[in-house]
Amino acid sequence: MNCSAVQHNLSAYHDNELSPDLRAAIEEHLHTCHDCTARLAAFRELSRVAADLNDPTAPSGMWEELQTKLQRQARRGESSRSRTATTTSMRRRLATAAIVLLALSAALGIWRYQSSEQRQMRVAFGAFLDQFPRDPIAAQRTIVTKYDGQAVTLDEATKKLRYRPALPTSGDALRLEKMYILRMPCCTCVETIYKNADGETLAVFEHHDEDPGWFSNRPTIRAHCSGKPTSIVQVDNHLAATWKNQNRYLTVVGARDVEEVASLIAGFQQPDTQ
Amino acid sequence: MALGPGRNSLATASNVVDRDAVACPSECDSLEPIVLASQQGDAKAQRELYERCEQSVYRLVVRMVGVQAAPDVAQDAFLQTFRSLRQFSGRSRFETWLYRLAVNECLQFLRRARREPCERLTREPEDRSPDKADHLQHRELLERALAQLDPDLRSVFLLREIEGLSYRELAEALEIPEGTVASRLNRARTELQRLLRELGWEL
Repeated sequence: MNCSAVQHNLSAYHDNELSPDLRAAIEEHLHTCHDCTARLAAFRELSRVAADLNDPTAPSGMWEELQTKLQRQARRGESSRSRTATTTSMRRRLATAAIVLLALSAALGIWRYQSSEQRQMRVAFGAFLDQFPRDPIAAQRTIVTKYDGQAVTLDEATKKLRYRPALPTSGDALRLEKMYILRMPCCTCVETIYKNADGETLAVFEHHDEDPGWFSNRPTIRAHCSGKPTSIVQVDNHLAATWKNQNRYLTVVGARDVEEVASLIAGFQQPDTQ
Repeated sequence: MALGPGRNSLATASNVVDRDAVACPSECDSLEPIVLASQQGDAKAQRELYERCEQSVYRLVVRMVGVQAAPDVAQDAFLQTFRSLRQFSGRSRFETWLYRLAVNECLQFLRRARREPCERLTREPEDRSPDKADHLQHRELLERALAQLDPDLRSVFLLREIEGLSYRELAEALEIPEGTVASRLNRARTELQRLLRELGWEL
């Protein structure tokens, strides 16, 4: 057997995946060939070091998040099945039809009410996005008034929200100024006001939904910033951006440029996931 | 926790040891009833199945897509797994099927990431200064070389060396012919040697 044939089979030999005959032929060649023996030694060394690699630990809370997503999906499936069942029943009995129609009207009412609330929130948040980079104090005052904003300490926020709000974990580039809990139609969220190293104000919202509709229909760029899928919108000469942090989402308003967005995203990551 | 004949057996496995013989049969076999119960909607079994597989999938995903994106990609892989659990026929080992979904999720992520407009922001922080190589341990150099390796070669190397899959299982997990497994592993190992040499380790 020549070197080319041996080297073609060298991984399979190393991994003990060859027939005994082929294996014996290769061993015979290896006794006399320095080059092939050296290659095999390198494969063995790679395997030795690979076996010694660290075992990265999965972050906690992944199962809970996965379960929430699966349950949400199952509910969607059930509601679509129950809608199908209702349609069949309507054909059979007029009385049921009346009840279903009533239920549908009520649902439509709720939907209209919710969608009107959502529309109002989009308008209010849109105004906040526009005003914040120019006049953060006035923008902040408006949103706090509109959404029953409560100034809180970190401990108070943790108690009320039942989770500890995300804080920057690295560097001293951000100075925490104030923290609020806002009761918005989409969710109860925590808003933290920071000053960056240049004294500019940034607002960071932490929320459960990936897209609470805050960016409305503004052109959104989907990018990877510091390795995280991020939605970015431009507001005048500033940026707002949303990304996933641990089990929730963070939205920053008032970032100067993508570099600042990337640095914020990296700054909010837990040290063990960096 | 290891899924199958993975890390635990690797310490003793070499080319002269039959890996299948040193695998952990009790641990591997015991996944089957959990998978069956999970397919029937048993929530407790689903959680157990997740916990048994979490670590193996996560360590594969971390090395495929990087530590920043790994939690999201690993979760997408599990979402896909539980969504299509009923489609698992039991013809192959569950672990092989799961690895196939995880690798596909990673490759899809890497393809998407290449198309993103802000690609310059996606790279993991990396120190390539040559004088550092001497101070690094071999395993750190291997991690760096792996990060630079083509994803198709990386997946076959990781599934073989870290997760301990046989060539037949690799062929199933990666949906390639068994003959291609051997040549792909040859390429992966040769390419890793070249990358390691560039990083200052004369292997």
